[in-house]
Amino acid sequence: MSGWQKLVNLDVRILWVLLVVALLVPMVNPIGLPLPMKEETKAAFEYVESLTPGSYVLMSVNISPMGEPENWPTAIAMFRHFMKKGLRVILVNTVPEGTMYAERLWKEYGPEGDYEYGKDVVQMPFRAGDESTIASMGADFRGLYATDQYGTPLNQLPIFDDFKDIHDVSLLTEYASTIHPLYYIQQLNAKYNVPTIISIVAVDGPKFMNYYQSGQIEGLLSGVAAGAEYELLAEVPGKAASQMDALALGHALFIGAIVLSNVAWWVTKSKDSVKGGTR
Amino acid sequence: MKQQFPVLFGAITGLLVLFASYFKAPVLQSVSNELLQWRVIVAAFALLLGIANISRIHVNRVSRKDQNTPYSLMLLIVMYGALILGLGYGAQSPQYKFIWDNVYSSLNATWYSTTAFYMMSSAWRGFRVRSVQAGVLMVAAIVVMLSKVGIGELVWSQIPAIGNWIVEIPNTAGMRGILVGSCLGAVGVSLRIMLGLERGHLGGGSK
Repeated sequence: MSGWQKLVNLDVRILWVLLVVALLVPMVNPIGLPLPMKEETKAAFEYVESLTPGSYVLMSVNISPMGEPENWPTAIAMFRHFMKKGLRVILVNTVPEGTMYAERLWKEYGPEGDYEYGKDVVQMPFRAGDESTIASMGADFRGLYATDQYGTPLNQLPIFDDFKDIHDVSLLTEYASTIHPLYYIQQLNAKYNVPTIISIVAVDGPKFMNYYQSGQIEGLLSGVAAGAEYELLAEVPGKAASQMDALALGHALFIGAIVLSNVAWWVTKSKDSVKGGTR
Repeated sequence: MKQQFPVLFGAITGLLVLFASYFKAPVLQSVSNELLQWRVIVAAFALLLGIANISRIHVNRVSRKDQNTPYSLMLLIVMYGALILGLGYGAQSPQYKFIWDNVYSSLNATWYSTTAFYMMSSAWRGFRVRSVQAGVLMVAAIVVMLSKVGIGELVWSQIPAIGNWIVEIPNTAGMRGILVGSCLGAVGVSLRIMLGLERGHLGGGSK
């Protein structure tokens, strides 16, 4: 068996070990690779910068554990930026897992910006119904949520003093690994012209590029790379930037595997055809 | 009547919500808002229906005592255990959070992380350039992957620009075509449902 043939038949478990090494080593010893800045991340940052203190941000935290590595650092970076800007944050979620993440956001990171629950930030309870729930947020927000997550009526929470309906929202941000951003675009962005920024897992990023390019949404944050870019722009160091070297080496390993396996396959195929064999 | 009433009900409610999007009549808006709230309540009931259905299926499997019985038993114990803890102590309680942090969250993240190993296997064994189209796909994939991370800029300074062009022009053109096509399809199906021509959702076929 030739060297190339051995490569074609390589035990894939060797590659798995290489993958683990490629992901772990940069996390322990960061390499400091350059971070390409995407236009759609810059646009998102600049839109948040343009908001006046006290503006309402509807932050839809539809994060689940599987999407956490990609969306959670972006949500933290944006929440920190909102606090720096003095924006009033209303947390909602339309997937059940989002409740835990929304709560973590204001409880763990709120104190950094001296954000007081009920005055600067509030969490709404989970409502089932996906697109209908989002449509209801637009049609009658106070009808959909009679109380906050902890049972306090909205009129007893100072954050809602200037909030009448969805038209008072200056920015909607959605963090998801599902189809929900599309529902928000359809039901709140298109219908009520609520400025929208979408944070989505990298694999779904290209699906939402249409909406950014057409100018319908203000920004698109795709994957953990966008989180790292946002951390850099907003000067809020966090988890995303530290993951970028690992992501880069992981990508390099995948590309190397695709190219090398194809070269080995082509060489062995050519040798077989010269010998008159078939594969 | 069994078929006609749901079709009529669906058509009337569908048209009311549809018209409310186009006309600013206060009565229409308030009826539409009310219907949307009903839908949220119905969705909450659907969760209960889901629990009942999954319980029925797995209780049957446990009673059959076949090789899958332990899995079904585990599902029922975990589902009702979490439900009882959530209802009894509240979703913010340390007991419920313990399950969330140490069982659900860890398992969900682990399950998703394993896909990296499947991707590695398929990158090595599955992606063979057997045609010109596959070659174009491979080159585009590599350029886009490189453009998303810092390593691309080190390989060649133009990689990020080319990668962005692929995502913004050919990809967006294709996605836009798919999106417009699927939206037109959705409009067509919605109209068929509202006009009673499509009855698949009632358990039967089209007219």
